[in-house]
Amino acid sequence: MENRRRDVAVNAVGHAAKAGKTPAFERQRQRFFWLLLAPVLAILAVVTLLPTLYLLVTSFTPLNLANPATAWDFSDPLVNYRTLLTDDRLHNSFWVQAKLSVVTVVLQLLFGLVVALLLNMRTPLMNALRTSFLVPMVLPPIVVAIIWKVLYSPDISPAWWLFQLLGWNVQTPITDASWALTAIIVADTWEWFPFTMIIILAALAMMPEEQREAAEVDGASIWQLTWYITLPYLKGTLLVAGLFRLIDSIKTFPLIYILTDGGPGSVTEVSNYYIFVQSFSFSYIGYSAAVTMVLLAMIVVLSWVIIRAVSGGSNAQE
Amino acid sequence: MNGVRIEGVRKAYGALDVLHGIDIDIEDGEFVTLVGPSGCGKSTLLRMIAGLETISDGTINIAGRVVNEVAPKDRDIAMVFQNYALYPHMTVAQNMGFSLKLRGVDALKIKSAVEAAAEILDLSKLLERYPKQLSGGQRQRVAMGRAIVRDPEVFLFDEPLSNLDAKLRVQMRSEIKGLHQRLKTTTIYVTHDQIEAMTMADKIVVMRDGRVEQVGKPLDLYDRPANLFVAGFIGSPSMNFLPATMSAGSVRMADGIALPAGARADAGNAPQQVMYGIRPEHIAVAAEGIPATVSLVEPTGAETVLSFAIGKETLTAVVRDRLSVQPGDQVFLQFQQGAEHLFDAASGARLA
Amino acid sequence: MPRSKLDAAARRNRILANTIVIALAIITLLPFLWFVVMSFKPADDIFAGIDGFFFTPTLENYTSLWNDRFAGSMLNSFITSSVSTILALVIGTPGAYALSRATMKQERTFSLLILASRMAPPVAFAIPYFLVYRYMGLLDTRTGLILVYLTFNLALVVWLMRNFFDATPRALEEAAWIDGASLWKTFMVIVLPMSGPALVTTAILCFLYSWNDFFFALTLTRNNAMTAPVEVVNFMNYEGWEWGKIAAGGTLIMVPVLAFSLLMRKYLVAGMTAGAVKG
Repeated sequence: MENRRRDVAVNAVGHAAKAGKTPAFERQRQRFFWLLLAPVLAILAVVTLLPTLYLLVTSFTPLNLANPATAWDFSDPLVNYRTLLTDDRLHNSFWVQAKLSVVTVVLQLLFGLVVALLLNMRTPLMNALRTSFLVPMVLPPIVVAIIWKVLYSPDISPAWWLFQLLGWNVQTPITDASWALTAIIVADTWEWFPFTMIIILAALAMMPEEQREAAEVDGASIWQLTWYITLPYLKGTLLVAGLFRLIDSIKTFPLIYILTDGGPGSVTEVSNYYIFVQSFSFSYIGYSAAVTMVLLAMIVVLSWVIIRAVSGGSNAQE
Repeated sequence: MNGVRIEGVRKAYGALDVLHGIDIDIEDGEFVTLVGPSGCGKSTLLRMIAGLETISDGTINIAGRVVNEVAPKDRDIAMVFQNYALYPHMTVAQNMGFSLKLRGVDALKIKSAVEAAAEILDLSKLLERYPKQLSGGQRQRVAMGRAIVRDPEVFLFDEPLSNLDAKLRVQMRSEIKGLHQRLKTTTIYVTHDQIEAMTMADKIVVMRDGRVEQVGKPLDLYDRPANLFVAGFIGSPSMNFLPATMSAGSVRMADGIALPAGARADAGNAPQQVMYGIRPEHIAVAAEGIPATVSLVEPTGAETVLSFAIGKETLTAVVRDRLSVQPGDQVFLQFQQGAEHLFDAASGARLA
Repeated sequence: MPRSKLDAAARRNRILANTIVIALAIITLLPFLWFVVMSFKPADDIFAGIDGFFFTPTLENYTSLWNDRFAGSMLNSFITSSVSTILALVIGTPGAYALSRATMKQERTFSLLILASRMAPPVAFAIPYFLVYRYMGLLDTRTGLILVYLTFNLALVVWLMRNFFDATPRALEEAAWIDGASLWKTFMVIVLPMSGPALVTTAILCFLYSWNDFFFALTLTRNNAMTAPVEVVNFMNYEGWEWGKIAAGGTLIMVPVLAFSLLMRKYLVAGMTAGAVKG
């Protein structure tokens, strides 16, 4: 009833409604949408934006938990950023990160592609087995780390039983400076090749049949088909999957924490891990915050690249 | 007045105008179809009447009340959507009774209203089913039932039959028409199918590119299309057009062939470029007349569609006799007296 | 080429491919199966090398877990994951709907914000949260963890549900408006009931992400609010290396995860690529 009366009242002016004036219902809708959105925006701001700002502020202080007075000391705001330029251990961590990221992404794309191409033959057996390839990816990351800890521990690992049988004397790679990173790469590849695989499989499922059929009619062999038709079709998908893995590889934590603890020395200490050590083991919070800001900046750039790549990729498909 | 009155209605999305000032008067109880090719703005106009799109300029008046500022629920309208828009988690009865329930009508009254509507639409046995358990035609009926139950001032239909197969479409077409004859509720029906428009409407509004091309009774549109677009759009197969020159009482094609134009060509003005229109059903094969070459013969059983070449132009004719002609045959064509239409070649407007 | 010859070649290829896939599947599953089997081994057999290959399965690893604090940490995991999931759904779903239906200019900014919060390394949040929680007394509390989990759950809900709403026809809402429903009523009575499956999917994904979390639990809890993943790792540090218990604990953590994720593997990728790819 209330509503009706208001509508009638509005009607009197309604006659004069001119272009550009939003009618009542439309205004009501916009107000309603903002009402629904407000809590999300508010809470997202509180739980993500504020902490990020605080992180930025902290990065300008020499905050050290051992000395609480340092929390609001802005006398030399750029001290951390200067230190960061000359911190060899940090530079090493970027280098380790680069090696780990590039190698794992390439391996994951390669394995993911091979398994996806195989599974795309879609025999009944393959359809039944497809799910089992997803297991590594869906396991809790901490459990994956523990599983590989078991595999790399000579006294309980089935691999070392085999080495023993063969009479080989093999060192465990996780305490060997020249093999520790490789050990992590192997585990990480095992954990995440299903991700690239499932994305590629999804793309293959959407591949227009006619393309393949036309090539088959033209007499292409299965290798030619894959090389000239399938792979070019998958280019965009591979790029996106690779970029996603690249960004996620920056977050690798449980594997390193459990398997090598960044060691031996600092051969497996990636940036993310270095920050963790600096902040939560040494309590150099201010400095860690500065390093994190740098890392965040890199991730924002990569995310931006992804968004561009994805929208570019979908344009190409249309 | 009752009915719907649309005055100077414009719709703009930013700088893009999709409706350029539409004026339509719809009388109480009338069945009006808005017809036109896709993108002509007919659905937008319908959604503006429903209150689902804002009105950039002009007014829409329903039953004597300007509704520009009125929310959809207060416009006293019911709408049948192209994809039916049935609530998937409600039974047929709940779907149909939803609007009454929202209005606080008591359960018994809702039940009897739903049952009455279901009776009309032959849905009585399906009331407890869910939309996903129904066939396309049944869903269509439920969508209509939902509209009927409300007993609104105006029914709005947005291409309601476009998702049905051809046979069902014909059947539903006559059902909707029958329903209107029974309920006499003002109805605005959007379609891109001119046959649907012709068969159902009391009045047709032909639209193109956000403008009204012609408003009129179905047969008036067929007999006296206001311009080339309407002439070509209404009727199937569509009207033949022959470019010609009109001067001193005769109409001739570029290669000199004279076309019968009777009194209409009498205007003794300067030579004028015209489009000569003749419907396929007004052409007959005869012993003498305009010479033509048969290029295609398509028998459909009841009638035969023939294509001819006249000079450089092609022409389609529909004849009911079974002629024994072959592609390549030379024949003569006779145009039915007075059935020709003349349009100005430049503006497309009807002459005389 | 004669038909039969072609068939034979095709069949050979299929058999070859099938064999390779079986081999790959075994390689993929072996580490995981080994771990599960280990959780049923008596302690002696775990270290018995090849001699421990055949063993009498036992539940002693699991029962010893139950006498431990592990049950409490499982409860912590469960409570923090569920509460955070529910909060994210309650707050995020209406927002996702609004975002899908309203015409807003800030859309691109918003999707970048969501992608960034999904991409940011946890340590970026852990540091400020650690400082603030220390001050507010939220360290080592379930409330603290629940709030942190909102950082990724809320973004996930908004993204996934928005994609869902984008794919649902608006005609149903329009029909409801014309039928006389208010905006709020339309959302509650028409939109939400249709979203059931999508809500369940999103809820499961949120739950799994929180359940799988290790980093925040490691840095923001000590004792009281410690979750199962951290507790399992603790078996490695003090009390020596209790591999049987570690395997049993790890198995318990991953059972619900495996069950849920394989049930809805179709949506896994949508969750993982949230922010960039329309699911």
